[in-house]
Amino acid sequence: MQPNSNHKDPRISLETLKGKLHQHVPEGYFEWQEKKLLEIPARHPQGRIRSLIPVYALGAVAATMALLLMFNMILPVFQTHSIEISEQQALEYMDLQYDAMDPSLQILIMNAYTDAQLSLGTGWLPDETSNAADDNDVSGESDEYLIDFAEEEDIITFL
Amino acid sequence: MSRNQDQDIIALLQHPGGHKEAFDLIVSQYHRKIYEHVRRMVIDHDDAADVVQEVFIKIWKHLAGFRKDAGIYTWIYRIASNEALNFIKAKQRRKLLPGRMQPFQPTASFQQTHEGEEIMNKLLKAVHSLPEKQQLVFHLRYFEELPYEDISAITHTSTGALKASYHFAVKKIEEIINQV
Repeated sequence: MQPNSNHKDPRISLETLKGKLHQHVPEGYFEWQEKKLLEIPARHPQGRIRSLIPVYALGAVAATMALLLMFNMILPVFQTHSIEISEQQALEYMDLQYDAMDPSLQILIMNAYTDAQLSLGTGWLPDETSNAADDNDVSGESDEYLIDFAEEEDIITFL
Repeated sequence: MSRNQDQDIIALLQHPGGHKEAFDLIVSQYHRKIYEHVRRMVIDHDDAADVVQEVFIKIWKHLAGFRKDAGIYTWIYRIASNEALNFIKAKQRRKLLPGRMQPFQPTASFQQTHEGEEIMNKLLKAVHSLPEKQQLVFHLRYFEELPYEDISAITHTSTGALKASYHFAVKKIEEIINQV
């Protein structure tokens, strides 16, 4: 009997495939895997403290923390007065911080402070207002300085 | 899978000292099943072995928090499925392939002459062309033969949506297989 040339392969359905499926697994793998998995409790201790704390207790702690955080964020909006800290208190606090520092850091800070003092000039205070008169004074001083040196140079040239 | 043994596991979990014994029972009961489930999702044997290890570490670490009213095997399958999906996503990111999964490439270990493996190869290639969630539904329904109610508990999806998803997955996979 001649095969029918119009015959088409029937459509493969997933149900017919089911029994034919196979995945290669190395021999003895499952025994090795079981042994390895049974070692997990020894290698990974369970969080004992965590397991003793009920979930609702953790939830309550989280909620309290969230409320505190929100309160801290909202509080400054309603705060109408600023916190006053006296200059004396601030200096005492800074002294304490300075004493607690590493000596090498203390030297660095002291050097930086000295440099700042030198570059800004002594006697400068942040609450002193800078005005044009002061600027003129300074420029006046520098003029005097230049004149002094110019005179000195003239003398040298003259000599 | 034996529901009686699941009851034994849950009974052991009632006692704080019974966790180790419960875990041992879970391993002996589920390690093969979980390996096969994960292997079908990640394809490569070595990858599957790593993922299975992570799955059981997670199971052990979270055993104390297991809700006794939940089914143990749906809980285990949920962990395994999430872990496998996370692994696939991480692998995609490593290969810098955003969005869809990389087209399936049979590895050397996978290219077997065995007929069953060839069919499996073809089938998994088709499965991997589906979106991730649909792949998971297909794996759980087709290979694991889980009832829709359990798949619903694992994937947190309604049974109606799952049925539709599986129906479309089967149609698409059959289409691909018959094209090859």
